Amino acid sequence: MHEIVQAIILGILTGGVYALMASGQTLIFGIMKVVNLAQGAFVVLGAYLTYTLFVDTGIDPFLSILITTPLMFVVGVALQWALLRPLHSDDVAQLSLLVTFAIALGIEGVLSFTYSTSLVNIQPAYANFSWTVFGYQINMVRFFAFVLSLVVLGALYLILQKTKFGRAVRATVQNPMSAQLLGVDSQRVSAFGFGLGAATAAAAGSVFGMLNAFNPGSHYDLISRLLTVVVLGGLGSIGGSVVAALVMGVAASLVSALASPIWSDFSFFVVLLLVLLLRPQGLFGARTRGAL
Amino acid sequence: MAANERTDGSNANPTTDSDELLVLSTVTAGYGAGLILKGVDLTVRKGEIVCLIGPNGAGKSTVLKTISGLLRPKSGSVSFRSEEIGGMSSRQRLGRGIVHVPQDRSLFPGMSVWENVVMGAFILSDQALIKSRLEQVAETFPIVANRRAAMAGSLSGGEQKQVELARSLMLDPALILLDEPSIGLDPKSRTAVFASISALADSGRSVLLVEQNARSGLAVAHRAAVLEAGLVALTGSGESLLNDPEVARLYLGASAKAPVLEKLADTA
Repeated sequence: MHEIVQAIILGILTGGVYALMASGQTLIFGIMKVVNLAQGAFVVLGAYLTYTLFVDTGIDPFLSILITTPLMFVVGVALQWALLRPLHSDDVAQLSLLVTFAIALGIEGVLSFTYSTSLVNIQPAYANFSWTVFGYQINMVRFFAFVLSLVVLGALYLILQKTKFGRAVRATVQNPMSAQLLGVDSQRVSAFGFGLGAATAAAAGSVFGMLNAFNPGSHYDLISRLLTVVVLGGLGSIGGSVVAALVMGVAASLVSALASPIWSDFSFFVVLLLVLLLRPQGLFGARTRGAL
Repeated sequence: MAANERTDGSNANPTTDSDELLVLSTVTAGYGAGLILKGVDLTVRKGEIVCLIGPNGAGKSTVLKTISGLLRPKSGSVSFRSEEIGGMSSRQRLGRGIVHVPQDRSLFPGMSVWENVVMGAFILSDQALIKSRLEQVAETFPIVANRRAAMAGSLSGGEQKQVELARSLMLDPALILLDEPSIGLDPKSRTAVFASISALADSGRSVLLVEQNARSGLAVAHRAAVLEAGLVALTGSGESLLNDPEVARLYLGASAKAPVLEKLADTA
């Protein structure tokens, strides 16, 4: 029993970080109907930026998101403007897959050239600190990573619910033609939305780099997990992807603890397969689509 | 034979009228290489309700899209208050006082009624002005205040249409383009919508109405035009077209053909 509770705690903490990564992915899909295959590469790029800031200047990985997040926002806006905006709207669903995959490969290439393909890890002094609460181990980095995820997701929620830009985003997701007829510039919303997606990836990248050893090719593994989470949650639903990320985090952690870590990654896809068989729109697809 | 020669002459050459708000002159428009509008001439004056009727596929909705900026004309002129607007974006046209309420349910289903109406003032930044407009709109359409927290997607079709009309007033527009406002509504809601349209004109606004339900559209309109195969085939007062037995016969059971054009061609 102790082992199961410990695994659930670990799963929830890990799931929070996946929620952060996936929220950007599903936001981009909701606005642009683009499956962003570069979201994993954005996370890895964010991790490398954090690594460089930590190794070269000693900036704490948690504090570095104050730099990496706005930087990646700008990178996201620029990429959307330069590479996705010119796509004709009739072909955007198919062509964007190729374009975002090309972005991912481009990022991987630049990172491999700059950092080599060796695995690295961000190891602040407190990396191995843990608290013991009622006999359960809670790793400090995982706990703060979870808290950071909540804070960033909360900020994203407030931006979407309380700002004029957020209203424009939700309007575009729910009814693009009406939004345009009311004066919403869909291209600007798309660019800012893509930037926001990249910014959340950067925040997630900082903690991903502390929790995992990574190299430029780590995005392949990440993107398959992220796609699982957003499909499971219901494409376009941020709330759904948060719940899905927690479910997947706990499922993977339980499988790892009770069976073997070897089967942990596989469990992601078993859960996805079951959900798609029983509920093809994802957990929250039908109910919350259009309610971003 | 040009389109304006086929009209009944009541509005054949209105370009000297000082009350003209919107003038379309030989407008062509379409998607890709194909043309849907093949030279449309149409005028809307201040405070006037103009109803466009015609068979499916004649280009009625395309006329509205070309006026609101969802579609750019390929040739011809779209002038509003004597200013050429054919090359302007939807946002620029909104700023000049043209609001388009499209045919399909156009509310944002996951937003509250209140948020939907606030979105009607998206291009405005003066918060005091937005607040006063909201108060005015809520007075005209009580549903805005009564159901303010309800999700728009949970409203009935008639209620949604009321909120759409309320939202369209947030910019205090001079011209409202309404595409099939009565479609899918029960008779009571339909009556309420047409009463609201009359009230819009009474308050000095102009309305260009596309209506499949020709009898109700013509009854409320000051003037009307019959659109067939991308051309204006007939214009006249709403009442005269309503009482025209030929128009009534053809358009209460409209076919996809161009009956008035065919008839005119036969008699030409």
